[in-house]
Amino acid sequence: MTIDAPQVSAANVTDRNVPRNLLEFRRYRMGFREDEHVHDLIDDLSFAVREGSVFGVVGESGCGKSMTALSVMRLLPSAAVVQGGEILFNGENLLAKTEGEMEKIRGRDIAMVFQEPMTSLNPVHTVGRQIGEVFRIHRPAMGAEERRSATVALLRGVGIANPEQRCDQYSHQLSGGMRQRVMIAMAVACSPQLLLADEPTTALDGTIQAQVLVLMQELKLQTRGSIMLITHNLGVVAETCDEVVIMYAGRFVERGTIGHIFDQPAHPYTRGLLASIPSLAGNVGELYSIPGSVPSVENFEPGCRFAPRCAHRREYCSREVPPMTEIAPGHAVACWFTGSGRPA
Amino acid sequence: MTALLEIRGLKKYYGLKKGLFQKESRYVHALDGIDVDLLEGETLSVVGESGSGKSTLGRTIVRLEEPSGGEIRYQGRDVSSLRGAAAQALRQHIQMVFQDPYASLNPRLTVGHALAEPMLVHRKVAGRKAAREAVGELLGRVGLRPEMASSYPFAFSGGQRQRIGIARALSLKPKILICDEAVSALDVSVQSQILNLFNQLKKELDLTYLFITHDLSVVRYVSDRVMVMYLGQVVELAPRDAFFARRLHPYTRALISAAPAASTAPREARIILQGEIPDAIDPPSGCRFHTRCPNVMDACRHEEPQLREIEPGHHVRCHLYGNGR
Repeated sequence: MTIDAPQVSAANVTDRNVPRNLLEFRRYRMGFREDEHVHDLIDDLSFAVREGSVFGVVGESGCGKSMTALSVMRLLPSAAVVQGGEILFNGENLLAKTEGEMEKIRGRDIAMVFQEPMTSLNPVHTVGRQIGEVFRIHRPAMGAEERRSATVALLRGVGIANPEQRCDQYSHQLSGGMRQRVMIAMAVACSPQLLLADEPTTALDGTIQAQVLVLMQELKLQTRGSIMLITHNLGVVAETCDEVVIMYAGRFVERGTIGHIFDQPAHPYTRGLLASIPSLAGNVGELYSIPGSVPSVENFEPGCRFAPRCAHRREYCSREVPPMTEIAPGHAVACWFTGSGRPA
Repeated sequence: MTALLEIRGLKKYYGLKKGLFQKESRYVHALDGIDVDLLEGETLSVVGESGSGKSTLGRTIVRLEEPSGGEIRYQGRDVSSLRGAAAQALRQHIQMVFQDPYASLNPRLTVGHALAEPMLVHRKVAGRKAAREAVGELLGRVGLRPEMASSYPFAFSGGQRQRIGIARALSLKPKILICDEAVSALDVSVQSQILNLFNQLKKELDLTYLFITHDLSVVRYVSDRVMVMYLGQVVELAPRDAFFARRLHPYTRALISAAPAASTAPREARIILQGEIPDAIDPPSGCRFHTRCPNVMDACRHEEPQLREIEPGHHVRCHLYGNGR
C-alpha cells in the first residue's frame, strides 16, 4: 500500500482508545532561496505526532530536521520559502495563521527547547525574569507574587537546587546542565500540548545528559503532552521515543516504532547508520561506514536522494522518487529495493 | 614497549586576576599532578567531561600551553622547558588534530598551501615542486584526490576537512598524534570513516596516539589503554578490556552507564550522579569526586586517595581499594 498522507486526520477520529493526532504534516514542502533560484530541501513530508507520545526525528547535519521543527514554530530563517502543504495542529493549519495568532500559540500551546542553552538565554536578565516573561505574555492575570512562586516551583520541578536563589541569578552563573534545565522550565511553564526539543542534550556532558533525559521522561509522564525530539543521536532516540522517523536529505526514508527501526531496519541508509555507530557491546573490529557524504541542497538527485551512496542502487533509483510504503503495520520505508518494488 | 613520552607530576594552573592591580590569588587547577607514560605504538585514550583537564593535557604536551610544574620527557629527554628553535624542532615529532574542522583551517589558503606550509617551514621539502608532490601523496594517504590541493576549505564537507586536518598533522612525519575530540563534531556516517582512517594510518605509519574524547563507545574502537580524568586528576588508568570489564572507579561506572545505547536490548541499570562537576578553582577536599560519589565514605571527605596499581597495569584513585598510603 502506498501512502501519501496519513490516513486518519484529527477531525474524524471517534474511537476514544486511539490517541488523536496532535500535529500532522501533510505533503509539506520548503526550500531555500539563493538569488533567483529556490533549492528544494524538505520534499513532500507527511507524518503525524499522536497525543501523549514522544516522536523522534533523526538525521545528520543538513537533512532538514531542525527546519522541520522551526516550520512548526513558524520561525524559519528569512531565506526559507514554504512551497506547499499543511501543518495541522489540533486540526488547524499553522501555515494559515497570522503572526499575531502564532504569538499566542508559541510558548502556550507549542514550546521549543534549543540545543545551545547559553545562546538562547538572555544574559542581561535574571533567569527568573525570563521564565516569568512567559507568564506575563500568556497569563496576564497573574500578579507579580504569584508569578514568582510559579517560577520557583517550575525551577524546583526541573531539579534545580535552591530555586529561590537561582531565580535571581543570570545565565552565566549557571552551569550548562542547569541552563538547559532553565530552558526546559521555560518551555513547560504553560504546560504546552507539544514540546519541540531540538538536540536538547547534545551540548551536555554524558552524566548530565543522562540527568536531563530522565527529567524529560518525568515531564512527559506528568503533563501527558507530546514531545517531538530532534536529534542525531540514535542512542538518545532508542531510550526516549515511541515512534521515530529517519530523515535523509530533506525526506523521510523510514518510519516506525523503536522496535521496527532498531531491530528490523529496512532502508539501506538506516541500516548503514546503525552499523556505523561504535557501541559499548559487541565486536571491536573495523567499523562499517557508508561510502561518500551527505549531499548538499544544490546536488540532490531527482530520484532517491540516497542513491549515490547506496549499495543496492539500480539505474531507476536516481530517476524516480520511491514512495513511502508500509511494509508492516506502522512501519514504512521509502526505497525501491526494500519497500515498494521497482517503479512501473 | 618503551615509553615514548613520560609525563611526571604535570601541573597547569591558570591564575585568576581579581582586579586590575591585584595579584593573582586564585587558580584554576586544570592539571594537578598527572603521571602517565605514552608507550610507543599504543593508542592511549583520555576520557573525561568538560573541565576535567583532558584538552589542557593535550595542549600542554604540544606546548600550546606552558606547564606550571612537572616534567614531560620525550624519548628520555625533558622537553617541558625547551624554548625557541628547540621547541619548534620538537613539534615535528608531536602533532595535533583538532575538534572543529571548520575553525582549524585558514579559509584564505588553498588546501595545498595549508599542507605545504609546515613542510616548507621545517625544511622537509626542497622547493615548490617537491612540496606539490608531497602534498599530493599526503592527500592520497587520507583518502582525498591529489587535485583537491587547489581548492579552498569551503569547498569541502566536514569529513573531508577533518581528513585535511589529519593530512596537515601528518605532513611532518610525526611519531605522536594528539587527537583532541577529533571525531566529535562529525556526523555518525562520517565519524566511522574517520575512525577507520585513524586505525589504518596507525598501522601504515607506526604512529602513537593520545586520543582525547568524551565518547566512550569511540574509545572502545581505538584504544589500547584508557585513562579517565576528573577535575585535573587521573582517577583510573587501565588496559582497554580490563577497563570496560572491571570499571573500578565509581566515576568510571557512572560514565559508562550514562552512555545511551542505540538498541532495544535491555540495558543495565543506569547510575544517575547527583549534582554537577564542581568548580576547578576550589576543588573539593579529600577525594575530588566525593560530592557526587554514590559510594562516598567518611574518609573520602578529608583524605585524598592516591593513584595506585590495584592489578597489573590497572591504576585507580579511590578509597574503596585501600587508602593509598
